[in-house]
Amino acid sequence: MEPSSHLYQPQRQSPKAVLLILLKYLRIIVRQMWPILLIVLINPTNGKGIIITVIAFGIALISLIYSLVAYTRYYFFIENNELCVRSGVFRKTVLNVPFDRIQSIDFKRNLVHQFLNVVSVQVDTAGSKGSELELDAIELERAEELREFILAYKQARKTVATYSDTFLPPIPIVQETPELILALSPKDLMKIGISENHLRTAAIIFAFFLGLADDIDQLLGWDVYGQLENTTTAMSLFGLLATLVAIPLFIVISFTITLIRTVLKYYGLKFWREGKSYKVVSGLFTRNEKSIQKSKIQVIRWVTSPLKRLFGIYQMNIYQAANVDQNKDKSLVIPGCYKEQVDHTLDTIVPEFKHAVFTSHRMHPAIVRLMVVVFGFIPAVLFGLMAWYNEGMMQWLLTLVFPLAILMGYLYQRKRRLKIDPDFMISEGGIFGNSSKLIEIYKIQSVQIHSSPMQRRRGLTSLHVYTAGGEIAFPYLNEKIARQARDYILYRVEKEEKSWM
Amino acid sequence: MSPINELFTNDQIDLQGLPDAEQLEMIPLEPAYKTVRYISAALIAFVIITASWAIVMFQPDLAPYGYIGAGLMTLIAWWMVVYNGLAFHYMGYAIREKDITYKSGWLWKSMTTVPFNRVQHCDLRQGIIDRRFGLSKLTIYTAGGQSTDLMIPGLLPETAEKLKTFILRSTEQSIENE
Repeated sequence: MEPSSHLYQPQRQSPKAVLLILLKYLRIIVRQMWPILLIVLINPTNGKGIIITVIAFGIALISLIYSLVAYTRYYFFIENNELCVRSGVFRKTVLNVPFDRIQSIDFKRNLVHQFLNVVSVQVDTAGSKGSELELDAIELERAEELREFILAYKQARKTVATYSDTFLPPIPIVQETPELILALSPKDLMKIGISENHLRTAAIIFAFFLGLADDIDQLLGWDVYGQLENTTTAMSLFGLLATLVAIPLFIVISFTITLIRTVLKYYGLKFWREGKSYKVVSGLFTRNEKSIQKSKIQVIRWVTSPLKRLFGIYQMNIYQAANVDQNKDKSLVIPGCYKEQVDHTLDTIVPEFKHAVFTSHRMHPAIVRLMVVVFGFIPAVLFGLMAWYNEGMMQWLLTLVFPLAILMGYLYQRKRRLKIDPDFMISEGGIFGNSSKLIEIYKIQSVQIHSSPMQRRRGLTSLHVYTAGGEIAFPYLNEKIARQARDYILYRVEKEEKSWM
Repeated sequence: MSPINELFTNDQIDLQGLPDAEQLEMIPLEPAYKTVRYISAALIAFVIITASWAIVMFQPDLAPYGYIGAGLMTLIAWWMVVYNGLAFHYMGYAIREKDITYKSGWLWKSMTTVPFNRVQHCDLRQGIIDRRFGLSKLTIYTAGGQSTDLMIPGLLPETAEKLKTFILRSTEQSIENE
């Protein structure tokens, strides 16, 4: 491919970026201040509200002007095999990202991007913080050109590194035909939405309303909590009825929200294999494209919950080597797929997996006692004391955490397994559902063995193995097995000649 | 169900014959480091104790629970100082041909091993108290993230420097072989 010379010329982002910047600011303003805006709209005569609004809009206007100036000063270009960005309003800064350090180049398009035919380009680098780069709006063709240029360079480098001959072998750029591993139909999407974790959404909504009540409390001086307390303590027939209506309503709302969220996020999800990389494209309004190179894959996880099991679906996560400190989720998520698709994916990523012969190791039952004490007994005693002190009848219900902990501890111990094969390691678990985490032993970075006095008394230890994309931690493992596992892993890693990434 | 005492059922290699990391001869840290541990633990303990008693003094309505709480915090802080000092005797490192191991902990023991062919980089650091006692801290980074970084404190600067050079050379060699 002949690199286009204009990539070397410093250039601004697409002029359409201005519109995107405007929208970005509008969204930030609305997101940050919507409770205030709401209150101002409801109660426009409130003096405090107006002052706050004026100040907020002033700040927003200044930052908007600043960002527009920043746009005109923002240039990107390629120089000496580095992607450079020159920016800054008052102080000029130049950010150089060497191609060698670039881990992945992802495109993101929301509805506006799609409408304007531009993409946001996210360049992730290995290591050092603050060196990742994001271009807000680039024309699609230009972005693709940029990506291809950098990827071609990287591929060429890799080839040179592998054959360290004196001459450079011609670099074949093979355009492999992408293989579609799975595509989610609207029906699949419904199944996934229905079987998502609704409790989590309920908790978020609950927290959100508490936060809202706080805001209203502070801004308007309405005593929301007091009102709530009055209604709940009254316990009139009306109050009871209201509660009876509110709970199902709450459940229906959280259910609907999760369903909508799932559909928006995973709409038209397609999971592709393109030569040596895997790609997931999804989203209704925001079209997200994430890809992972096969060699970077470190951990594969597949999970099912009781609801998901009804439909026979699994959630699959593919984790890649990433800078853990960046706290950014760089895994590929396939929210729902059938067992055959999990097997097929495993087969393409780790072909030897189907021949693996695993030996299972269980967790010592003493873990149940520990879990019951920590998550059941101690909280139950504290709740009991609280209930006794407050003479609150309902609070006694909280002590039910004790039997619940017994049940959960029992289920946890029963399902937990550490499976080892000479090449692979799987950690299985799940209390109500099932989860499996697979790693290839030669990709392990380090091994830790921990033991508490309680564990040592029973001849037990905790085994932790770390990869660049996640860890397997297995407490309450037989000490002899844990040591053997550690010695074997070290032996395997140290004699391995394949690169882990 | 009978417990499985072997790691694999399909023994391809002699598991008993593998080098056993448990048999390692641990090299202890510099004795001066024990003092450093006492001092830094005592400083933290001082802050905790002062803060908890200050809260009790300025919030009289917390009594009597305030006193119980502050008393507990004092006990915990003292225990921390004692534990820190005692745990020193259980700290040590060992180097083999292809990996490095660090062991620590008195009641809660832990042992981390990093193969040289997984080392990303190393650095040497000196804290304020370390510098007074002429000690250095060697940190070995892997791609596995913060919790796997192997940190060996209480080394003489020369030893630390030597260790660092050795590790980096071994890492280079093992990567060249790949």
